[in-house]
Amino acid sequence: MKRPEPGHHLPDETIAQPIAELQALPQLSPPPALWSAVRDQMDQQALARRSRRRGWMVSGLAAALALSVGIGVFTTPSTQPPALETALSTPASTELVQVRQLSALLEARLRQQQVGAVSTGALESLVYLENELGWLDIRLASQPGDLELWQRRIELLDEMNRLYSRNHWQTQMKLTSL
Amino acid sequence: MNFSQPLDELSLAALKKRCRKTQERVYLDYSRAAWSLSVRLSGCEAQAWDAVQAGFVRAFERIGQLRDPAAFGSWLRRLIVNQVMDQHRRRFEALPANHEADSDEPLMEDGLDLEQALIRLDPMDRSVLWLHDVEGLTHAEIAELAGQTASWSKSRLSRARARMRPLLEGHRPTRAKHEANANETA
Repeated sequence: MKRPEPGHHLPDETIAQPIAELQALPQLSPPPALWSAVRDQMDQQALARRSRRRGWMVSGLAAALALSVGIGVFTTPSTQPPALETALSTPASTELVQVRQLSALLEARLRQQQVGAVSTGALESLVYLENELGWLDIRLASQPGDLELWQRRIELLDEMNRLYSRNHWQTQMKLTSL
Repeated sequence: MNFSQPLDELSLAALKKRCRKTQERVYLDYSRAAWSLSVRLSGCEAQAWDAVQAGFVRAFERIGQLRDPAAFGSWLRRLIVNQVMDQHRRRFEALPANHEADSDEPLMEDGLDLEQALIRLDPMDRSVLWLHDVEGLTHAEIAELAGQTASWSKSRLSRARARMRPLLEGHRPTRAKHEANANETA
């Protein structure tokens, strides 16, 4: 175990024996709960990493949203019905504007993705999500100011986009391996 | 298992994929060596716990940086020693500016066994003595871990040995003492 080195402080005879005994001391057993503490800390760090990543994604989407709102303001005349314009002018409805814009953004992205074949597994999920979306749109037609419904719509659209992306990636992989 | 035991290629690959079962197995393989080292360097189980926990978490989190599976043990040891040295440094920095350094007076108490004598040493002296005399690290390696110079390590070692000498000279091995006690009881 011990390695000599240049200038190594070699112990004199009086101390050599006790040092040999120090080297021979038995190993100690760690407390049984120590592994749980290691595992929990790793889980917490993984969770923190995931939320940081999600934070960056939300910031990215918010930036895209701000850009699209800006473009919308400067390029198109207002075509909103007067009742909705009044509703959107209150501070509480700023969030509603944002979720509607985000929903539109995700819908546009989804339209671009809806080309090409999808796997049977993905198709089943997509059919389910489209049904959910159809049902949600019916409710939104009668409650256009319901923030929760809009948020649910964003989640569904996001999920569908991810399914298409994953499916395209898998198809590409299969084609590459041929 | 001690730190010189190599890790196999498959385990390293599984650790890089963050396989929880492999992490647990590797932890079990090295935990006794890690715990013993940490307790003897820090002289305190609470600090040893923190150092071992932080050392393993860091090792598993940064496993991507390790290429040679045979180097895992020494790498883990280094991470744990770093944690203990950080604790010593933090404790030293927290001391008031007018705090007097530990004296160089030899420990003269009777009845101390080796482990007790080790615990009575200044934390840095104890760490240097253990790393040099037991773990076999060079002064350059110890200096790097402590963020000091090789001469600092040499002077710490001399001081630790000088303080330990009277105890060590009159030392009665712990194991022999236990055996003697057992014989007396019988």
